[in-house]
Amino acid sequence: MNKIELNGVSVLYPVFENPKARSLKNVLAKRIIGGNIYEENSKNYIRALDDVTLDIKSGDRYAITGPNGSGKSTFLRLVAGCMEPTHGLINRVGKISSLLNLSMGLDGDLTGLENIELRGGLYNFTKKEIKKFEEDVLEFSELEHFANIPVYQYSSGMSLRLAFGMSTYVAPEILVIDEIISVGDLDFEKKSKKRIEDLMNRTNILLLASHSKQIREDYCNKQINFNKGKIEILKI
Amino acid sequence: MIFFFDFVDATRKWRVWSSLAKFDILKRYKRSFLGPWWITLAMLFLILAIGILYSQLFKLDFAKYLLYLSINFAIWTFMRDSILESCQVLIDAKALLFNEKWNFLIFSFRVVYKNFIIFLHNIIIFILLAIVLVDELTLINLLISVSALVFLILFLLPVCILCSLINTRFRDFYMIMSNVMQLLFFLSPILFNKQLLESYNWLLYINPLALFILLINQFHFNYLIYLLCYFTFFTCFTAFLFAKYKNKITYWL
Repeated sequence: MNKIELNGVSVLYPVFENPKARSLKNVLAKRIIGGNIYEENSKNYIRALDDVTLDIKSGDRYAITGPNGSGKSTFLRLVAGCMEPTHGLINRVGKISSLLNLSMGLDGDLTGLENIELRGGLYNFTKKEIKKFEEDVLEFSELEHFANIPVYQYSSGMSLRLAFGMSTYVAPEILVIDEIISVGDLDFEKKSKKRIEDLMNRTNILLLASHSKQIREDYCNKQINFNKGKIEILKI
Repeated sequence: MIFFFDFVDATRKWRVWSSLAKFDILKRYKRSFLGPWWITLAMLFLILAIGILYSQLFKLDFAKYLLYLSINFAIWTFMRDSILESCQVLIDAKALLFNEKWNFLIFSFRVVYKNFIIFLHNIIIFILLAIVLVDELTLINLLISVSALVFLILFLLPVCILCSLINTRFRDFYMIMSNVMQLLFFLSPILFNKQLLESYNWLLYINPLALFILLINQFHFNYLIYLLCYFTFFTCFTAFLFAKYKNKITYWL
């Protein structure tokens, strides 16, 4: 059974930009001298999530809303496993895949085909699987004629198609999406919408951050709202 | 233990780090006519230039000195670049790390593997020179050198992981390390023979990189013992730090 349990989870981002707090010299000096020289500076934190408790079970389709900077992205990163909380516990059961940053690892200097091969490598695919992956993505993104052209020469729509095709290939048990539903021109939009709907239908748990009411109502059965790092559970 | 499990897991995911490393190299030499063979060519020019001058200065046989330089430079470049590149590797992979769950050790494997491929390009010069210059190549010597090389890779992995951890948190570390590596280059028996050190022989024993160069060049039991100590120390220290700070790495990016 797939599930995600968050218990009293908080995330505090340290602010490092103050160079005094971060240099090796000062940390060593602090150790040796003994006093907390930059105590004020070393207590610079951003509280992104504040005491979040939530049980996500198989079959749940959560829409996540909230104003900018309210903790949505941190919550998604946490669920996706990119980071661990600074306080509290999180327990994830299931194969998680995330569409947080669509162009993850898309390299402008490499050709379309090389990019697909690289991503296949990142998915730990065998040679055979990579071959299948290449065929599927090229066919879906309709970029067969551009496969051997470096991605920096693609139009922005073309590179988005490629990134979208690669990111939506593997069907996970838990899917985390940050505000992306469809890409490309009108024709392609339909195609990409179908592909992501397929993907969402095949997963057991969906977490979808979106500002669009229509999208939330179409795909989700529960809603949570974030406000200054605090969680509110809403009805849909 | 956490370190050990992650290490095994990273080893299993060889496809991930090998493709990252492969495209690191492909990307760098894209659109150039010689491609990765530039590595070999650059090394050839370097050892020829240094070989001509220093064989005169040290009054050594040119051909033999060239042979000595070619192996030393190949090993040194492998060690130095692995260590220095690993300092930056997690920071450069920010976009990947913020997208999904990663085993951080994969990135150190990537750096070491990438530099090993470069090493294989560099060692070609040595192999060609050895075929011409060395009269008899014993199988034993070859086996010893190859196993010393395998040991070097095993040694570099924890060291590189350590460097990537420290530099992600303390960004001064890279600057410190690049200066340290420059210093170590002159303290290691790369350009000169270790006999020239005489009473400064102890300098070799405080520098594991120098010991590796000696071990691969000529096996000595003494070097192996010292290196095993260094290896145990670095592995334990890295394992301790990694277990303690693993969950904080993303906060340091």
